[in-house]
Amino acid sequence: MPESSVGCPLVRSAIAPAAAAQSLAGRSDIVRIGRPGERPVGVMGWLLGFVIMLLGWQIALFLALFGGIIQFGVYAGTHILGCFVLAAYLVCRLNSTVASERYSAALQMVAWSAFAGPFGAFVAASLSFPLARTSSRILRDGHIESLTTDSSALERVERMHIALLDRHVRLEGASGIRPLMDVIAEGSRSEKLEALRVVYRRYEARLSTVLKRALRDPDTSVRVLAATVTAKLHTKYSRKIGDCQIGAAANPKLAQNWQTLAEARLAYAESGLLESPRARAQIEFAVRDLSHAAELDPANGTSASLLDRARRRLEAWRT
Amino acid sequence: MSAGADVCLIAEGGYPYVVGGVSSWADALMRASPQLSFHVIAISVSSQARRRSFVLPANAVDVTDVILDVCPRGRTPAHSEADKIKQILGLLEIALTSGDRSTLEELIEQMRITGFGQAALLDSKEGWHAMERAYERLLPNGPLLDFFWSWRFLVRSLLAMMSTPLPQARVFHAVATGFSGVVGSYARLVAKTPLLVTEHGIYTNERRIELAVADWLFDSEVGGFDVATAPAELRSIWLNAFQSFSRISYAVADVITTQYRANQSFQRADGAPDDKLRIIPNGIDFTKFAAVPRDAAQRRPTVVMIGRIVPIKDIRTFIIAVALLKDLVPNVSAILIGPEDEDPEYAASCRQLVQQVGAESVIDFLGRVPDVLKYLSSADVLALSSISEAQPMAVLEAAATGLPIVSTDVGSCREIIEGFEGDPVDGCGGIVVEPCNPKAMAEALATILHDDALRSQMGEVMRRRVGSYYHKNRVTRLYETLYAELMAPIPASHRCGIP
Repeated sequence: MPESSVGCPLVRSAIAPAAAAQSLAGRSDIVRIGRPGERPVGVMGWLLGFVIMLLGWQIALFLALFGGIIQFGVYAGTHILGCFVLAAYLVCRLNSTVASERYSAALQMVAWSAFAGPFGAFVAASLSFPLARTSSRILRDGHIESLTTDSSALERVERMHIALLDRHVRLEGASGIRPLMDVIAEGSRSEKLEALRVVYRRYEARLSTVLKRALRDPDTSVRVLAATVTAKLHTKYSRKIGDCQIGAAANPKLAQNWQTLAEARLAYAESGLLESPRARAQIEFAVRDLSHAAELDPANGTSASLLDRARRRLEAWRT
Repeated sequence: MSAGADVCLIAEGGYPYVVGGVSSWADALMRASPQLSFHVIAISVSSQARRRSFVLPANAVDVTDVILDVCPRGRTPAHSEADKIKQILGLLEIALTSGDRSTLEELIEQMRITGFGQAALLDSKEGWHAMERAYERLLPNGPLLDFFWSWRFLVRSLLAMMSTPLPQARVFHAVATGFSGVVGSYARLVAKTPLLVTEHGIYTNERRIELAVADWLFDSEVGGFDVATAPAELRSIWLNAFQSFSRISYAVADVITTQYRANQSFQRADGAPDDKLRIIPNGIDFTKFAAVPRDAAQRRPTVVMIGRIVPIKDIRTFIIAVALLKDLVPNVSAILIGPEDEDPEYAASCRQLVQQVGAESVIDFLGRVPDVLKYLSSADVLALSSISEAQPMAVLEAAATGLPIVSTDVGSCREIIEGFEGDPVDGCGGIVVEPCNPKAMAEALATILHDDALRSQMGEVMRRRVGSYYHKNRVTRLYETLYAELMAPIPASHRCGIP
C-alpha cells in the first residue's frame, strides 16, 4: 500500500477551508416533521371549546338583538367590550406562555368576530380547523433546520410516531432496502463496501455481526474495509477510555471522573466489538470505577444505578 | 532540465520525503541497479514538508517536485475566448469523472494551444460558471463550499500535472496509478517515452477505503441504509476522480506490474488490459539477512513486530494479542519496532492501551532502530497485525533470517507464508490469521512459541521460499529486463501518442 500516498491527505487539505461550514452542513439531514400550519391534538380540543363558547356567545347576543330583548347600543357595547376583554386575555396569555399556538389562533377568531359578529367567528373557525386536520408528511430537505424542543414540536413527533406505528406513514423506496447482513452475504463488491460505510457511520452493537461476517468475506477489499472499520471503532472506544483515565488520574477525588470512565468502559463492553472475556473485564473495571465513585459521592444516584446495572451484567455472566 | 536519465521514477507523496514501505522499495530499486541512472519526480502538496528522509543514491541524478495545489497562472483570457474556456473545462470535468486516454490527449493538446492556466480556468467568470455547472451535475444540493474547494484542488492538480517539467528519460516508471499515473501518462503522451506503472496496493481500493471511514469528510447520509443507489456525495467526487486517473493510467501505460496475483483481478476490474499485466514481487537482500546467525542464548520467548505505529498496521490488535498471549506464554516478551512520528495521537493511544490491558511489563516500544537485524536474530516469531498491506518487506526480511511469521490475511501475506501455485517450496512458514482478531493472533503466536520443532521447521520453509522467489537478484533482473524491453526502439506501427 502506498502508505504515504498523497490520496486522502490531499482531499483533507483541499476541503479544509470549508471545514467551518461543515458543522452547519452536517446538520442538513435532520428530518423535519409536519408543516408549519399543522396543529396537534391537544391544541385542537382547546380551540374547539373556545370556538363553541365564542359562537354561542355571539349567536345568543345576535338573537337577543333581533328578538328585541336588547337595544343596538347595548348589543354593540357588550360585543365590543366582550371582544376587547377576550382579546386582552389572549394577548396576555400569548406573551406569557411557550405554547402560544392556541392563543394566537383564538385571537384571530376574536378579531374576526369583532368585525363580523357570529359570522366572523364562524368564518374564522372554518378557516382554522381545516389546517388543524391531521396530515402526516416527512419533509427531507437540504435546508439547515434545527430541532425545536417546544411542546408543539414534541407533540408533532409523538403524532408522527403513532402514525408510523399505525402504518399510516411509509418511507419512499423502503422496500428496496435490503438488510445489511444480506448485502454482505450476497451483494456485489461495491454494495458490500457501501454497506460497511453505512455500518461505520451508524454503528450500534447490533451491527457487529455484519462486521464480523464481512471480516470473513472472500473479497480482499471487503475484508480490508471491514478490518479498517473495526479498528477505527475500537480506537474510538479505547481512546475515549484513555481520555477518561487521564481525567480520573488528574483529579481522582472527583466522583464524576470515575463515573465517566465507567460509562466509557460500559459503552465499550456493550459495543459488540469485544469478545466475551474482554467485555467482562471492561465491566469488572467499570464496577471498580463506579464503586470508587460511590465512595467519593454516596449521594449520586446515577453512579449507584450504573453500578447496579454493571453488577447485574456480571452476575448474568457468572450464571 | 537535468542530464538525461535511464529511468524517471514518479513517486506520490512518499519518496524521498516520507519513510515507508513504498519509499524504501523505490530507494532499493535504484540502489539495486547502479548501472542505470534515475531521475525522481516527487508529487506532493504544498502543506507537506519537503525534508528528505532518504539520502539519494549515487545513480539518482535529480529530483523534480510537482506540487499539486500550485499550478501555472497561464495567460489572461480575452472576452471572445469564453467558449474555448468552456470547452476545456468540459474536458477537465470528464477527466475528473469518466476520463480515458483520449480525454487526456485532447486536454494536453488544448492546453498547449491556448496556454490557459489558473487565471482562465479557475479565476475567471467563465471558470466560476463552469464550477457552478459541475456542482449542479455532480453534487446537487450538496455543500457548495466543499465542492468549490474540491473542484478547485482537482482542477489545479490536473493543471499542475500537465505542466510537469519532464526530464529526459528513456522510461517513465510511475509507482502507482492516481496522480503518479497521470503524470506518467502525460509524459508518455508528450515525450512519447514508454510508461511502466507499478502498483503495490490497488490505488482505487485504498482511496475508497480511506474515504469510506473519513470522519472529516462531509457526508449527508441521504442514502440512509440503501446501498444499491449511490447518492451524490462529496466522497464520490473524489473517488470518481481517482478511478478516472487509474483508468487513464492503465490505458496509457505500456506495462502494468504488481507484486502478487490477487491484485491483478482488481486491476482488470478497473479496466487494465490483460496483455499489459505482469507480476514482479518485492525483492530483498537475501544473502545479507540469511547470513544473520540466530541468537541461541537463553532468553524470554520473544515476539517482534516491525512497522510504523499507524492505524493501518492495527497495532491495537497486536497489543491486545500480546496481553492475551502472556496468559498462554507467561514469560513472553514483545518488541515493537517502528517510528511513532507519523501519527503521534495514534501512537499515544497505543501506549495508553498497553496500560489499559496491563501489558507494560511485556511490550517494549523501541521506535526507530539503527540495526533491525539484531532484533530479528534474537526473536522467535514475527507478528504482523496490519489491516492492509501489499507485500510487506518486514515479513520478507524476517523470513529470510529464518523467523516464522504470524500475519493477518492481507495483501500477499498468505502467498508468502503458505506458498502459491507453482511454488517450488512446500509447507507453511507460519500462521495466517483473520485481521482484527487478537485472540486468533495470540493463539497462533502461542502455538509457535510452545513448539520448538514447529518453529524451526516453519523458519526453514520461510527462508527457502524467500531465497528462491523473493531474492533481490531475481527481482532486480526482472526489472532490468523490463526496462531494457521498454527502452528498445518501438516499431513505428506500434508507436502511440498524440498526433
